[in-house]
Amino acid sequence: MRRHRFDPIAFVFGAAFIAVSATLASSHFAFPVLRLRWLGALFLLAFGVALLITSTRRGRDRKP
Amino acid sequence: MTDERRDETPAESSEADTAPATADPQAAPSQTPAAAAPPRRLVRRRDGKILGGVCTGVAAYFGVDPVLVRVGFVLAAVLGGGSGLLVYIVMWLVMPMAPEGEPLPPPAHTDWFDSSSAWRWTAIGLIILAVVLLSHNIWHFHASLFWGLVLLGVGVALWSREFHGHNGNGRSTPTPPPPRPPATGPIVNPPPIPLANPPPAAPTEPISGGATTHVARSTPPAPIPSPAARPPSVLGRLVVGAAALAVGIAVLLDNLGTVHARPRGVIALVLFIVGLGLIVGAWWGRARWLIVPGAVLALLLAGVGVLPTHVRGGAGNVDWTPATLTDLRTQYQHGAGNAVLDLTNLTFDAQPRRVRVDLAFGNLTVLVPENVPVFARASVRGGKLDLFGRENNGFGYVTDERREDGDPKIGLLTLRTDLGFGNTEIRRGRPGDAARYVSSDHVRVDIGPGRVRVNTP
Repeated sequence: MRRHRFDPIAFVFGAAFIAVSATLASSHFAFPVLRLRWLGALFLLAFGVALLITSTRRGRDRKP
Repeated sequence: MTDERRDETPAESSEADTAPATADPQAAPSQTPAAAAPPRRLVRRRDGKILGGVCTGVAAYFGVDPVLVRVGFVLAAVLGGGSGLLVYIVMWLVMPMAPEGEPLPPPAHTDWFDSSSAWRWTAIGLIILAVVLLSHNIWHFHASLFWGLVLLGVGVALWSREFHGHNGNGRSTPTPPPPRPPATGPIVNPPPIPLANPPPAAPTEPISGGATTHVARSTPPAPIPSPAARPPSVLGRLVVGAAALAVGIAVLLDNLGTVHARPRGVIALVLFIVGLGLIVGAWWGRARWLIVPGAVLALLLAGVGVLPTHVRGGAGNVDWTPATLTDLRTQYQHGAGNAVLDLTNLTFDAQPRRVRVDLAFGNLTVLVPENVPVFARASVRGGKLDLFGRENNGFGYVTDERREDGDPKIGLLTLRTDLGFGNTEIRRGRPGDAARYVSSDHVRVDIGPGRVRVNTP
């Protein structure tokens, strides 16, 4: 594997999957803080920021 | 002969009449646009497809990453009540499959700000959506806060545009143009460039008189750089292999009696490995395709946790209205749909009674007479719980219990409800209040002495 520039989209989804697996794997997932509204909103926020970063990069790379 | 050519291909003949022997290559794109770009069609595509090629086709049509289209379909399927899945199936049936080897069309998005504007506006929309969702969680929400955040996001986007040199005066270092081809030789069509604006083709046929025209190549059109071919990454295979190993070891240990591998735990283990692979892929290797199986596993994991396993029953809306205490059952179960248990028609006596209601999906409403002492314990695995006016909501195993006093001469009614995904409301009511909760398509079940009457709409 070769090292490349940081990929925020892969990072956001990876972190979200780890959080979901750790949360839902427990037998009593009664975490008052980790609720769908918060998780979903925070995920969308992180995903939007990641898209902003990648789109800015892409736009910058395509400049002649 | 010249007239015949003029009739068949007016653009080409016009060029033949007007173009000099040393044609200006910079002018060629505007003269023969149709020869360069393939026709834009919304078709399914085989290259990179996972299921039917719908997402890759839509992504190629709009010039975006197929991963985003797939994520959009998954989100629409989850948040839109399955609409994303339905739309996918319809598009799968309607969209034809592109023939093999058909080049990708050029991006079609409008140049609002620059070539990456579609991504940028998508990102802004997601951030706004997130802010709206977050705003519902703020105790004292002010509209000015929301609009302030919106303006802040727009400002950041505009600032980012300027900072990165949209007008050529930013601080970012521009990418140097690629090297130009050799200065001699006939002009030929450049090879098709995937996911980029292909340069228009230069004429390859003799312009006039059948003689091959050699033009000066001192100023050819600058080719648009194609994305560099990435070497295949082994990260995806490593993740799949690690997941298979983990599942195999878990099953082996389960067979040996060392551990008890529950389905939820196994799925969570695989999802954890997929997430770990994506985290690694943020710096080393490339395995973005893991997002799709990861999303499926997350939904599966949530479904395994949400669904009550003991519920039996059909689908549709149902209304339980026992008329007498002898009609009152100890357990009511239903699969999916809205269910109303109306106890307001009953005259309770001194005998304590227990009633349990289980529903997998839908909204559950229980109406209790005002004079009956009640001890209610309700659980919702995903959704809202309203227990005599006290609300809880969220995702997880939300449980609440409450005791409501009543006539001391009446026995205690112990009420237990369990709902998978939906909303539960338990409240006091009077005869007739159930009409507010029963829609026209409810199946009304009246159980009386010696009769069971089912009224269908």
